[in-house]
Amino acid sequence: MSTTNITDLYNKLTEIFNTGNEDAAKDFLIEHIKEFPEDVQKKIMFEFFDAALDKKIDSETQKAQIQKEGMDYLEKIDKAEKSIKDKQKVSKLRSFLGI
Amino acid sequence: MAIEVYKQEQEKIKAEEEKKRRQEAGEPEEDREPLTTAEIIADKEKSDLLGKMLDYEVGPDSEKIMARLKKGEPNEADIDVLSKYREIFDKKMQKVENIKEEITPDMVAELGEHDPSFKKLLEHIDPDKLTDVVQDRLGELAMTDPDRFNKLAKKIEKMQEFKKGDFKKLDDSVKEMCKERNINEDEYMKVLTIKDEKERMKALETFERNSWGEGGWGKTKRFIDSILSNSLSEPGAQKLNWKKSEIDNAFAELDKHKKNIGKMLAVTVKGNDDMRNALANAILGKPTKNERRGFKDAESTPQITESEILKRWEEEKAVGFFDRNGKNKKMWDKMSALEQDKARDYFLDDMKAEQASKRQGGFWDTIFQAIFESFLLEKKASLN
Repeated sequence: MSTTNITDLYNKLTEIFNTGNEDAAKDFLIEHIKEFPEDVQKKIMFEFFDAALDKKIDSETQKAQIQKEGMDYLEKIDKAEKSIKDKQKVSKLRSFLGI
Repeated sequence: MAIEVYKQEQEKIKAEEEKKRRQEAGEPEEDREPLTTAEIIADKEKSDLLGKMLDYEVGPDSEKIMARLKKGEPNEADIDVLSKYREIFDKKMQKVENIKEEITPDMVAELGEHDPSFKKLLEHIDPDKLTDVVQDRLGELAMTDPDRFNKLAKKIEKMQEFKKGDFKKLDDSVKEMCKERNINEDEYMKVLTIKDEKERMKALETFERNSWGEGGWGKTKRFIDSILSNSLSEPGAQKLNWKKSEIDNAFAELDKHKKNIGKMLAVTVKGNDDMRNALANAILGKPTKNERRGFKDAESTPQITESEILKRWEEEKAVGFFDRNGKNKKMWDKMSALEQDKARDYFLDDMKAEQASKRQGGFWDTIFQAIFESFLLEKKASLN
């Protein structure tokens, strides 16, 4: 497809968008970005940047949540181990004392 | 004299220490001297931004104020306006400058690793150019859309946190712990790349079940919790009644849990390309909540087509046009060329505003509005 002006670009993008295929609409924007007027190009680039920032923050936050969960859980395990060791000591003492 | 030299030296040392402390804490450099009006006017970028801020804050009069300022002939009212807004402008500019420093071509390229669409865009647009565009737009946003600018500033601050703040500390301590415990992380990492929390936990359970036999994740949690809660709640006498076999079993269980649970800590994405790609693929398969919301919102706003615009134009023409004050109504063919040109502008402004009022400001709404406005400009010539 050859697009020559903003009306063609707008019509085609609207048509793709109305199919509900977001990836195809994004691909269209990317492939034709240099055909848009300079100020529109800049706005498109900025929105892509902002969306990428959201994704990065999402994945890093998620990663940190998992790590935090893991750390908390490990702490619990350490506490549990200590608790069992205490019980073991008492059990040995009881056995030693024959009670 | 010696005391003066001593004081100066002490101040230098203090300033150096403060600078070092700020660097280590990831805090921005100390604020620079405030910009004077002359400095703002002499710099084209800054004076344009001041004009945009005044336009947003003061309204249409800002154009005349800026013209008088540039000529060096401000009147008393202009000086009042300036004294009110110069400081605000300066603070905004400082924030813009701080954020700009964080947005580098490397940072932009790194974002491509987390977002396949953005990666595709970087195949068409050089990261240096994209960095310049983002940096330029930041200034404009700070002046004309403070809410959006502040949201973006927070995101950039969050990015700094990942690199220097608590997130980094957490990441480092996890890495250290994995190293200490000699943990193999790869298999578990695959589970961690699942974006959806419910699905991830489900996969986690399967993974744990495979590693530990029947019971899985939930059982593990209950087991640990029961040991802890029993030791806290049991009466003293009962605490003594654990049998040796029970203790041995509990130790054996704990050993298994410790061995496997450690893998959970192994989220060292950096330096592991396979895992990083897996994470990116997982994200590709499941767009973020924000993105979904943006697309749905935009979908619910019907895009006005070319034929609809022309139809609306013909309807307006049929009933005639009021002037901007809404007083005198004239039919199209009775209007002068200048009046007709104004009528076209009013019509297009109304269309622009009408469509903008339906949008909610996500990714697609913003892009569509920008394209729509450009499209309307192109249509102006065909409104006859």
